[in-house]
Amino acid sequence: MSYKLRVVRTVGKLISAAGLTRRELLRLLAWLHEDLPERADECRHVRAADADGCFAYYVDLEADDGRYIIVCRFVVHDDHAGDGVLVVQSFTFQRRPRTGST
Amino acid sequence: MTLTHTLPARTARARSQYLGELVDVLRCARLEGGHPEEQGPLRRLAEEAAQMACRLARDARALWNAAQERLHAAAKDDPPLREYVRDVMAGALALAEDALKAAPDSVGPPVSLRLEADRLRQELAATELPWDASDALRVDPQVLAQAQADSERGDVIDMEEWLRELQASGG
Repeated sequence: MSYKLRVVRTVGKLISAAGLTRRELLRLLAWLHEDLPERADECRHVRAADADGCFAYYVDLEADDGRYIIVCRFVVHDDHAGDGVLVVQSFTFQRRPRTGST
Repeated sequence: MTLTHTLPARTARARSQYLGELVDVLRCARLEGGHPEEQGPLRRLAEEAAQMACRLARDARALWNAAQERLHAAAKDDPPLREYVRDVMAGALALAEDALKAAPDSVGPPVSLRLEADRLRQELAATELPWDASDALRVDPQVLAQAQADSERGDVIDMEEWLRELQASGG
Protein backbone atom coordinates (compact mmCIF):
# COMPACT_ATOMS: atom_id res chain seq x y z
CA MET A 1 0.00 0.00 0.00
CA SER A 2 1.25 3.50 -0.75
CA TYR A 3 0.90 6.35 1.69
CA LYS A 4 0.72 10.11 1.56
CA LEU A 5 2.63 11.83 4.30
CA ARG A 6 1.31 14.80 6.27
CA VAL A 7 2.84 16.66 9.18
CA VAL A 8 0.74 18.48 11.76
CA ARG A 9 1.44 22.17 11.18
CA THR A 10 2.64 22.80 14.74
CA VAL A 11 5.07 19.88 14.40
CA GLY A 12 6.22 21.29 11.05
CA LYS A 13 6.95 24.61 12.77
CA LEU A 14 8.88 22.77 15.46
CA ILE A 15 11.02 21.04 12.84
CA SER A 16 11.61 24.33 11.00
CA ALA A 17 12.70 26.00 14.24
CA ALA A 18 14.93 23.14 15.36
CA GLY A 19 18.12 24.86 14.25
CA LEU A 20 18.94 22.39 11.50
CA THR A 21 21.06 23.50 8.58
CA ARG A 22 19.35 23.46 5.19
CA ARG A 23 21.24 20.29 4.28
CA GLU A 24 20.22 18.57 7.50
CA LEU A 25 16.62 19.65 7.08
CA LEU A 26 16.59 18.31 3.52
CA ARG A 27 18.01 15.02 4.71
CA LEU A 28 15.44 14.80 7.50
CA LEU A 29 12.48 15.62 5.26
CA ALA A 30 13.71 13.16 2.65
CA TRP A 31 13.91 10.51 5.34
CA LEU A 32 10.40 11.27 6.56
CA HIS A 33 9.04 11.40 3.04
CA GLU A 34 10.70 8.29 1.66
CA ASP A 35 11.37 6.01 4.56
CA LEU A 36 8.42 6.41 6.86
CA PRO A 37 5.71 5.39 4.37
CA GLU A 38 7.78 2.44 3.24
CA ARG A 39 8.03 1.16 6.78
CA ALA A 40 4.40 1.47 7.72
CA ASP A 41 3.32 -1.88 6.29
CA GLU A 42 6.38 -3.84 7.24
CA CYS A 43 6.13 -2.78 10.88
CA ARG A 44 2.45 -3.03 11.56
CA HIS A 45 2.34 -6.75 12.17
CA VAL A 46 4.90 -6.61 14.97
CA ARG A 47 3.30 -3.83 16.93
CA ALA A 48 2.58 -4.20 20.62
CA ALA A 49 -1.04 -5.10 21.28
CA ASP A 50 -1.53 -2.14 23.58
CA ALA A 51 -0.02 0.43 21.22
CA ASP A 52 -2.03 3.62 20.99
CA GLY A 53 -2.17 3.82 17.22
CA CYS A 54 1.08 5.67 16.72
CA PHE A 55 4.39 4.30 15.62
CA ALA A 56 7.57 5.46 17.25
CA TYR A 57 10.92 5.51 15.57
CA TYR A 58 14.33 6.02 16.94
CA VAL A 59 16.74 6.63 14.14
CA ASP A 60 20.25 7.76 13.80
CA LEU A 61 20.39 10.46 11.17
CA GLU A 62 23.76 11.66 9.98
CA ALA A 63 24.17 15.36 10.74
CA ASP A 64 26.82 17.85 9.61
CA ASP A 65 28.70 17.68 12.90
CA GLY A 66 27.38 14.52 14.52
CA ARG A 67 24.16 12.57 14.58
CA TYR A 68 20.56 13.17 15.34
CA ILE A 69 18.57 10.79 17.44
CA ILE A 70 14.95 11.23 16.51
CA VAL A 71 11.71 10.04 17.99
CA CYS A 72 8.85 10.46 15.61
CA ARG A 73 5.28 9.36 16.21
CA PHE A 74 2.60 9.13 13.59
CA VAL A 75 -0.82 7.69 12.93
CA VAL A 76 -1.96 5.74 9.91
CA HIS A 77 -5.31 6.19 8.24
CA ASP A 78 -6.11 3.37 5.85
CA ASP A 79 -9.55 4.35 4.76
CA HIS A 80 -8.50 7.14 2.42
CA ALA A 81 -9.55 6.51 -1.17
CA GLY A 82 -6.58 5.05 -2.99
CA ASP A 83 -3.66 5.91 -0.79
CA GLY A 84 -3.31 5.60 2.95
CA VAL A 85 -2.32 8.66 4.94
CA LEU A 86 0.40 8.95 7.56
CA VAL A 87 0.23 11.94 9.85
CA VAL A 88 3.31 12.84 11.87
CA GLN A 89 2.05 14.02 15.25
CA SER A 90 5.21 14.47 17.22
CA PHE A 91 8.87 14.92 16.68
CA THR A 92 11.63 15.14 19.24
CA PHE A 93 15.31 14.99 18.61
CA GLN A 94 18.67 15.17 20.23
CA ARG A 95 21.98 16.10 18.65
CA ARG A 96 24.91 13.91 19.62
CA PRO A 97 28.57 14.22 18.73
CA ARG A 98 29.95 11.78 16.22
CA THR A 99 31.77 8.83 17.76
CA GLY A 100 34.70 7.06 16.19
CA SER A 101 33.16 3.61 16.26
CA THR A 102 30.75 3.85 13.35
CA MET B 1 5.68 -12.76 23.47
CA THR B 2 9.43 -12.22 23.27
CA LEU B 3 10.67 -10.64 20.08
CA THR B 4 12.68 -13.72 19.13
CA HIS B 5 9.49 -15.77 18.84
CA THR B 6 7.56 -13.38 16.60
CA LEU B 7 6.86 -14.24 12.99
CA PRO B 8 9.33 -11.67 11.57
CA ALA B 9 12.07 -13.07 13.79
CA ARG B 10 11.41 -16.62 12.62
CA THR B 11 11.06 -15.47 9.02
CA ALA B 12 14.37 -13.61 9.27
CA ARG B 13 16.10 -16.77 10.51
CA ALA B 14 14.69 -18.84 7.62
CA ARG B 15 15.53 -16.21 5.00
CA SER B 16 18.98 -15.75 6.43
CA GLN B 17 19.72 -19.47 6.13
CA TYR B 18 18.39 -19.70 2.59
CA LEU B 19 20.18 -16.54 1.47
CA GLY B 20 23.43 -17.84 2.91
CA GLU B 21 23.10 -20.93 0.71
CA LEU B 22 22.25 -18.87 -2.37
CA VAL B 23 25.25 -16.61 -1.84
CA ASP B 24 27.50 -19.68 -1.49
CA VAL B 25 26.32 -21.01 -4.84
CA LEU B 26 26.90 -17.64 -6.52
CA ARG B 27 30.30 -17.23 -4.92
CA CYS B 28 31.45 -20.69 -6.03
CA ALA B 29 30.20 -20.06 -9.57
CA ARG B 30 32.14 -16.82 -9.61
CA LEU B 31 35.33 -18.53 -8.47
CA GLU B 32 34.90 -21.27 -11.07
CA GLY B 33 34.53 -18.72 -13.82
CA GLY B 34 31.14 -20.03 -14.98
CA HIS B 35 30.26 -21.68 -18.25
CA PRO B 36 28.40 -19.67 -20.89
CA GLU B 37 25.36 -21.92 -20.61
CA GLU B 38 25.18 -21.19 -16.87
CA GLN B 39 24.90 -17.44 -17.28
CA GLY B 40 21.09 -17.44 -17.54
CA PRO B 41 20.47 -19.59 -14.45
CA LEU B 42 23.13 -17.66 -12.53
CA ARG B 43 21.51 -14.36 -13.42
CA ARG B 44 18.15 -15.62 -12.17
CA LEU B 45 19.79 -16.93 -9.03
CA ALA B 46 21.45 -13.54 -8.42
CA GLU B 47 18.08 -11.84 -8.83
CA GLU B 48 16.54 -14.26 -6.35
CA ALA B 49 19.39 -13.61 -3.90
CA ALA B 50 18.93 -9.85 -4.23
CA GLN B 51 15.20 -10.16 -3.67
CA MET B 52 15.74 -12.40 -0.65
CA ALA B 53 18.35 -10.00 0.77
CA CYS B 54 15.89 -7.09 0.43
CA ARG B 55 13.21 -9.08 2.24
CA LEU B 56 15.62 -10.05 4.98
CA ALA B 57 16.66 -6.41 5.36
CA ARG B 58 13.02 -5.45 5.77
CA ASP B 59 12.51 -8.22 8.36
CA ALA B 60 15.49 -6.90 10.29
CA ARG B 61 14.22 -3.34 10.17
CA ALA B 62 10.74 -4.44 11.24
CA LEU B 63 12.31 -6.16 14.24
CA TRP B 64 14.26 -3.01 15.11
CA ASN B 65 11.08 -0.99 14.90
CA ALA B 66 9.27 -3.47 17.13
CA ALA B 67 12.15 -3.33 19.60
CA GLN B 68 11.99 0.47 19.59
CA GLU B 69 8.31 0.40 20.39
CA ARG B 70 9.04 -1.88 23.34
CA LEU B 71 11.90 0.31 24.56
CA HIS B 72 9.80 3.40 24.16
CA ALA B 73 6.88 1.84 26.08
CA ALA B 74 9.16 0.63 28.89
CA ALA B 75 10.99 4.00 28.94
CA LYS B 76 14.28 2.28 29.67
CA ASP B 77 17.11 0.60 27.86
CA ASP B 78 17.15 -3.17 27.36
CA PRO B 79 20.69 -4.12 26.25
CA PRO B 80 19.94 -7.83 25.53
CA LEU B 81 17.02 -6.83 23.32
CA ARG B 82 19.15 -4.29 21.44
CA GLU B 83 21.94 -6.84 21.16
CA TYR B 84 19.59 -9.41 19.66
CA VAL B 85 18.24 -6.98 17.06
CA ARG B 86 21.73 -5.74 16.36
CA ASP B 87 22.86 -9.30 15.59
CA VAL B 88 19.94 -9.80 13.21
CA MET B 89 20.69 -6.50 11.47
CA ALA B 90 24.41 -7.15 11.29
CA GLY B 91 23.73 -10.61 9.82
CA ALA B 92 21.28 -9.17 7.28
CA LEU B 93 23.79 -6.47 6.31
CA ALA B 94 26.64 -8.97 5.92
CA LEU B 95 24.47 -11.16 3.68
CA ALA B 96 23.30 -8.16 1.65
CA GLU B 97 26.92 -7.14 1.10
CA ASP B 98 27.83 -10.72 0.17
CA ALA B 99 24.94 -10.85 -2.29
CA LEU B 100 26.14 -7.58 -3.84
CA LYS B 101 29.67 -8.93 -4.21
CA ALA B 102 28.57 -12.32 -5.51
CA ALA B 103 26.33 -10.94 -8.26
CA PRO B 104 27.63 -12.00 -11.70
CA ASP B 105 29.35 -9.17 -13.60
CA SER B 106 26.81 -9.49 -16.39
CA VAL B 107 23.98 -8.58 -13.98
CA GLY B 108 25.65 -6.03 -11.74
CA PRO B 109 24.52 -5.26 -8.20
CA PRO B 110 20.86 -4.21 -8.04
CA VAL B 111 20.14 -0.64 -6.95
CA SER B 112 17.32 -1.66 -4.62
CA LEU B 113 19.67 -3.91 -2.65
CA ARG B 114 22.28 -1.16 -2.38
CA LEU B 115 19.58 1.10 -0.96
CA GLU B 116 18.48 -1.52 1.56
CA ALA B 117 22.11 -2.11 2.57
CA ASP B 118 22.59 1.64 3.13
CA ARG B 119 19.50 1.78 5.32
CA LEU B 120 20.61 -1.24 7.31
CA ARG B 121 24.04 0.31 7.83
CA GLN B 122 22.47 3.51 9.15
CA GLU B 123 20.11 1.73 11.51
CA LEU B 124 22.74 -0.71 12.68
CA ALA B 125 24.66 2.31 13.95
CA ALA B 126 21.55 3.38 15.87
CA THR B 127 21.28 0.04 17.66
CA GLU B 128 24.73 0.60 19.15
CA LEU B 129 23.55 3.59 21.16
CA PRO B 130 21.95 3.02 24.55
CA TRP B 131 18.25 3.83 24.50
CA ASP B 132 17.78 7.32 25.82
CA ALA B 133 14.63 7.64 27.88
CA SER B 134 15.53 11.11 29.05
CA ASP B 135 13.09 13.99 28.98
CA ALA B 136 14.87 15.42 25.95
CA LEU B 137 13.27 12.79 23.74
CA ARG B 138 10.00 12.36 25.60
CA VAL B 139 6.89 13.77 24.01
CA ASP B 140 4.97 16.19 26.15
CA PRO B 141 1.45 14.66 26.43
CA GLN B 142 -0.12 18.12 26.15
CA VAL B 143 1.78 18.82 22.96
CA LEU B 144 0.73 15.44 21.58
CA ALA B 145 -2.92 16.06 22.50
CA GLN B 146 -2.76 19.42 20.71
CA ALA B 147 -1.16 17.79 17.66
CA GLN B 148 -3.89 15.16 17.61
CA ALA B 149 -6.55 17.86 17.74
CA ASP B 150 -4.79 19.76 14.93
CA SER B 151 -4.59 16.57 12.93
CA GLU B 152 -8.31 15.95 13.32
CA ARG B 153 -8.99 19.53 12.19
CA GLY B 154 -6.87 18.89 9.11
CA ASP B 155 -4.29 21.51 10.06
CA VAL B 156 -1.48 19.65 8.35
CA ILE B 157 1.32 20.22 5.85
CA ASP B 158 1.78 18.01 2.81
CA MET B 159 5.29 16.62 3.13
CA GLU B 160 5.87 16.25 -0.60
CA GLU B 161 4.98 19.89 -1.14
CA TRP B 162 7.20 21.03 1.72
CA LEU B 163 10.13 19.04 0.42
CA ARG B 164 9.62 20.38 -3.11
CA GLU B 165 9.52 23.97 -1.84
CA LEU B 166 12.67 23.49 0.17
CA GLN B 167 14.52 21.93 -2.77
CA ALA B 168 13.40 24.75 -5.04
CA SER B 169 14.49 27.43 -2.56
CA GLY B 170 18.17 26.72 -3.38
CA GLY B 171 20.78 28.07 -1.03
